[in-house]
Amino acid sequence: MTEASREAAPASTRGRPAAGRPRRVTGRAPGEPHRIAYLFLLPGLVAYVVFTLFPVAQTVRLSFYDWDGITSKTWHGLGNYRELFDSTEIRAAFGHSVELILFYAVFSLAIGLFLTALMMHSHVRGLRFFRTVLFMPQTIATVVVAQAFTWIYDPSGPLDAFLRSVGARSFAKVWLGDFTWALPAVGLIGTWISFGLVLILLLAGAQRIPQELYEAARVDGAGFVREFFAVTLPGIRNELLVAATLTTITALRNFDIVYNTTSGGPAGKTEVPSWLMFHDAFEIHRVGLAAAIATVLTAVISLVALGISRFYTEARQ
Amino acid sequence: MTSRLDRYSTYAALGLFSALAIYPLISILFLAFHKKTDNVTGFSLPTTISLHTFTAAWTEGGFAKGMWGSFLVAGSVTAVAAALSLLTGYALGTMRFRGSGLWFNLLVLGLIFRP
Repeated sequence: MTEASREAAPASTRGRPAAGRPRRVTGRAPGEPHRIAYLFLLPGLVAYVVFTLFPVAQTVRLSFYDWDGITSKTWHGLGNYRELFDSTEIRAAFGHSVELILFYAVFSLAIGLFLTALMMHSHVRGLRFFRTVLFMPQTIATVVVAQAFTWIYDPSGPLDAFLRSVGARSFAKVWLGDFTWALPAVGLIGTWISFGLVLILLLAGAQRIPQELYEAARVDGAGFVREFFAVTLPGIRNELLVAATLTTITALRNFDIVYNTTSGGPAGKTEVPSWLMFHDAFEIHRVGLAAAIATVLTAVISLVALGISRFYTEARQ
Repeated sequence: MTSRLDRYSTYAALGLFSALAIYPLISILFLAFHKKTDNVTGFSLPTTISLHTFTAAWTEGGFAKGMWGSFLVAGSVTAVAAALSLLTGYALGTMRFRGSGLWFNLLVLGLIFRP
């Protein structure tokens, strides 16, 4: 029986000299701790366990088996993980993911920071208009985005037509089929999707910076660059952390853009862990190996997210 | 007061990035206006506006059915998620109880697993 119900029902505790005694001093506010809170948590927690934790645990368990998805599973121990770390294809896929962070996170953060600095430096009209237009790529379904860029990168598409028209004929190529350029081409789609989100986040932070700080910086003779490093950047630290974490996670688990543009090609040059996971599980029916990739990818994403927030807490002190 | 040059270069940069943001969307809109038989190359504007592709999306692509499915999923997911998180958020936000920080972190951890 819990403490709360004992307190609530003194009549049942016969034999105790309860009458007339002052209430026991516990040092807590009355009614605390709120045990009813667990009842409030229960429905959400049940749904969370059933739909999130249980599948995750199931995936981790599957990663120790050899299974084609149909016939019975056989215990495989760490075999899938050994294969994962031995396979040059899978290692390359994780490498591609790291390269995509450059495009999804670093480039879009750079563009976002630059535009934020510009917008804070000189007050332009139509800020709301630009904000809306620049955020638009975020709102479009990724399948549509992939379709649009497949067309743009096509040899008969606008990009190559533009390059030919400005005389850079030798640069025109089959972008998504090129061994060196396919991955950067996919990455730039990520930059295109991400930078609007980054800009919105950073602007929201920057607009909370007191105007007096900018005035003070200008009185002290700070230029564009100095003003950015002395006023804007310190003021948007938290937003930068959120933006960096979100874009890095998006880069690492990128699946839909790759699947809808190159499907990992040419010759596996744009294969990423999420795509391999899908391929192994549903196309070549190696569920155990796919589960192992999923487990490692989840671990990597958690570590990276943790690392970014650590880095920031330390930088602040 | 910022200089005129500053303001113009800001407009230029914002304009450039806005164009980059909007171009792929416009290009797909232009593609939609072309007839199926058109061989579209480069950044050609459609000479005639054909709405055939839009009707085809409804009749052949089953757009209406797909859209209804999307609404159904979006509606039910929002309702259920709002109801569950309302309770959870209320408890975590207004009450103090043992392990509240732990429960909160456990629930936030789920964000990583989202596909």
